[in-house]
Amino acid sequence: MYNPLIVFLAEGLADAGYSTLRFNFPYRENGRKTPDSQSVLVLTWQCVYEFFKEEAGCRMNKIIATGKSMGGIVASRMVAEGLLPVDGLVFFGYPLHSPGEKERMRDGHLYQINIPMLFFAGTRDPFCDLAKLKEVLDRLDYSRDLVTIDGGDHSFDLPESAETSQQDVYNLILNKTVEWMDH
Amino acid sequence: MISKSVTIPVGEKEFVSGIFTLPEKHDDNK
Repeated sequence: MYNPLIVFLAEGLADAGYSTLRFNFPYRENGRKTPDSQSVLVLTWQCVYEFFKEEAGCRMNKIIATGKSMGGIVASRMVAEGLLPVDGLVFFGYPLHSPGEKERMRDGHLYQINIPMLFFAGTRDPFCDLAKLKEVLDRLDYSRDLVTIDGGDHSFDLPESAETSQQDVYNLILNKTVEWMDH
Repeated sequence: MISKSVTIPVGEKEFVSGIFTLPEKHDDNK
């Protein structure tokens, strides 16, 4: 919830006219390292969705679910199963596979999704081989977009040798997200 | 921009922290 990119995006989206609600999963809330069960993760997303609709205090034209790594894949599985009625998905680092296990991809449910999706992927992300991701996206029937972050890892952090600044990367991610949401 | 910390009920016993970040004029949110 206090990840620098997530905070930057929340503030930037507010400046662009979008309300956001960021949250912790229970395991993070309680200081545990092991993620909650799938059922608890799903229940959390559902409760946060309802809370956002009831408490944001604004008229909503659309609701977009976004997530960094696990938060995004849980949301996408829920959308595929009809458990999260949102209008779009944005992935800030999709964990397509575990590091070194490119053949065991977490893509099966993506083919069941019929809302627009936006993927951000770092070229150094050990959880997301870019060629594999592009193959997956080519097989999707519905609208999907991909923004690659040159030199970015799973959190879009750059190597020390990078000529681009970390702030430039954050600005790019925010601008592309706003552009996609405005569309 | 308005920032507001909230407590979100999850099921019957659990709660998680959340933070709303809202535009200044958020009654007609995008």
